[in-house]
Amino acid sequence: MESTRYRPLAAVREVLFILLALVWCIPFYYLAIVAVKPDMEVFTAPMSFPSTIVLGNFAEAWRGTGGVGLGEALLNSVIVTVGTVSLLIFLGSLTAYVIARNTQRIGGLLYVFFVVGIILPYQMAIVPLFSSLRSLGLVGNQIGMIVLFTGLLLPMAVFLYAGFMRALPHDYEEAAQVDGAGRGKIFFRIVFPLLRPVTATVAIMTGMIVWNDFFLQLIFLNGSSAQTLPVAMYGFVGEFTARWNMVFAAVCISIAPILAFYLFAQRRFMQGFTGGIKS
Amino acid sequence: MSSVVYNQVSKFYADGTKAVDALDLQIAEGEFMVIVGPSGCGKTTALRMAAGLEDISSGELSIGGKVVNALEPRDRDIAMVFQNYALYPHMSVFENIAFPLENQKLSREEIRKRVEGAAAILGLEEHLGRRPKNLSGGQRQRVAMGRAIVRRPKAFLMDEPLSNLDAKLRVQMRAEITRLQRQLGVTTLYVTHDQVEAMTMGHRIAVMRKGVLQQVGTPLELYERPSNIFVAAFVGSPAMNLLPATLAATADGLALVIAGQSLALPAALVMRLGLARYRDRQVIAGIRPEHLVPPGEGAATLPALRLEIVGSELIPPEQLVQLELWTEPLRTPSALDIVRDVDPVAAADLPRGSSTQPLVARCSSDRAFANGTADWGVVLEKLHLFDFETGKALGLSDSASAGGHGR
Ligand SMILES: Nc1ncnc2c1ncn2[C@@H]1O[C@H](COP(=O)(O)OP(=O)(O)OP(=O)(O)O)[C@@H](O)[C@H]1O
Ligand SMILES: [Mg+2]
Repeated sequence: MESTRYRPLAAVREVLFILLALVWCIPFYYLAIVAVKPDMEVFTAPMSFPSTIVLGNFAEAWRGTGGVGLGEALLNSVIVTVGTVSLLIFLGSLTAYVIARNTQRIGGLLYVFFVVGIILPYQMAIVPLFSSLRSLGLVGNQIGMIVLFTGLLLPMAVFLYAGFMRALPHDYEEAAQVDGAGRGKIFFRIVFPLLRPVTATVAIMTGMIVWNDFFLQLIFLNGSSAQTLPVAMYGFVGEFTARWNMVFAAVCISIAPILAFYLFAQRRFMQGFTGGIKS
Repeated sequence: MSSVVYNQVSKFYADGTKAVDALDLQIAEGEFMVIVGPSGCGKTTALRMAAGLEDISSGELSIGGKVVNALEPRDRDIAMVFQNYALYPHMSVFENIAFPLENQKLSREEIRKRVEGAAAILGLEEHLGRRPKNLSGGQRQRVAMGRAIVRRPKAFLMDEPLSNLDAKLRVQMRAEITRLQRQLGVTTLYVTHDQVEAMTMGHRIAVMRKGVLQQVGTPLELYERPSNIFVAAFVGSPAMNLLPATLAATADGLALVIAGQSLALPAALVMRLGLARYRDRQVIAGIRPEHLVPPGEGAATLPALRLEIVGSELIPPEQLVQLELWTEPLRTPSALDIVRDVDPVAAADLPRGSSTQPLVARCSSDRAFANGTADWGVVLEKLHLFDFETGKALGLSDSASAGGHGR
């Protein structure tokens, strides 16, 4: 065998992948150039390189819409996402624990109940949801949003957790029982740490859904001081004219923290997804 | 430290399996009791009932004189070592050993002292900061032991704790666990299917089969006075030779007739086993491999069986000589069933419809044997006789067969 395994075929493959990666970058290119275009040019020459680079677009976009700055909107998004994900991890893992470790019929029934929750389209229930949440004073604030998302995504969290937990050997829990630990302690000290791989999956999947959601946030937060990033961005799209350069500048600002987070945590995510339970 | 007592304890699983059937067993304070038996005989179930991890269907189980049927595992104050150790993978060795103490609400300082003490006993001091997955099998085994001994529980329960180790380590840990148990004096219930472990580690051994306790006794008692053919075949390696035979009356007493060959039984043996009642009846004769004496050795008066030598297995300083006897082999349903339990591989090898009965003799490796027929002496004083139908040992009073009281 040769000492180097770099062959012409490998070179071709490498070039192909680089090209593919470049194609991936095209939207980012347009995102960047449109974000710095002067107002008029967005319509006259949308695809061309900007004649003058207007960095002031970012400042204007930062000022936000509807009286809510983009910074506040970003904070609102973070509050809603982090709040929802934390609540989902807590409630989802506990519920799934009960379901997965219950040997009676009720365990199976509860499981089916949650799985059905994944399938049913929540959009059908929007009107009653809205009116009941409004009468509870939960429309137009972050807590309401967290409650809503937690309810909608709990089935998925329970489903993911229960599947993992069913495959988790009982030995650890039995050892802890014999070692004299109570139920709460067994769950939080023994079971929950063992769930780390699923917890990462649940956090990423539900976090992405909440962060990217537009429909529900528009309905429940539009025009309030609690409006989140997607709603704030939509504020630039008026009835008669859409200020696309503002929208794009706002998008640039909003993806910055996510991008930073990914770059920072990439390695740990990979571990979370690929690593199972090893004793 | 306390006694553990099973009083008519049974376990039925939901699917109707009777895993443990009216188990009566007393483990005295500080005693090392080994439960042994073939796979699926209910050993694990019996142990898990003591731990509280399995409900008791009927009967009473007491630890330290207190009935614990309704107690949660954590209220029983027992420690358990699992077959795969069940070390908490996300905790360091220190945290693993400290976990039972944490639950007792001890001070941080006290916990550290006790964990370090346990680690010192087991030679784990250097590994306290490591995760279980970075330990060798033997070290993991020690951590599991550490988690058990750190708390001074009322009893240790161990379910095949050595089965995941390689042969050499197993021998070493066997000695280590035995030494530790004797040193700490904690009542111990130890489950294994390895009869060598059972013979070497326990003060007493309880042999189970299909959920039923067969016999309880010291290793020597089981070896010398097995109460039925199952215990006879299960204890000892290689297993006892079991042959169909008839007790025939002769001019001067009783003779054992095996495949047409008559061996006059000593009067003392006839008396001791009360064989008069069995005159002209079929029995099962049991001869340990070391009680077959090679041709030309031993006293000339030794009664002999004419056997065919078919091969030998040299394990210096001894050898196992394979012999054959031309006779219908022992094929009663219960005997076949037992062979299957004791040695599934051998059961599969049993030639269907063959008419030779295999035997094994154990003798010194100094001598070479040529294939062919020869007269092998039989030490009749050490002969075991069993009822042909029930498989029960002849001449044993019923009380000696089961139960067992104290040490
Ligand atoms: N949860 C269960 N439900 C139904 N039957 C069971 C269950 N657990 C065990 N059994 C049955 O009970 C019997 C005894 O099982 P147990 O695990 O106690 O055997 P064991 O002696 O420990 O065997 P091994 O040496 O293979 O570990 C077996 O026949 C087994 O199939
Ligand atoms: Mg078992």
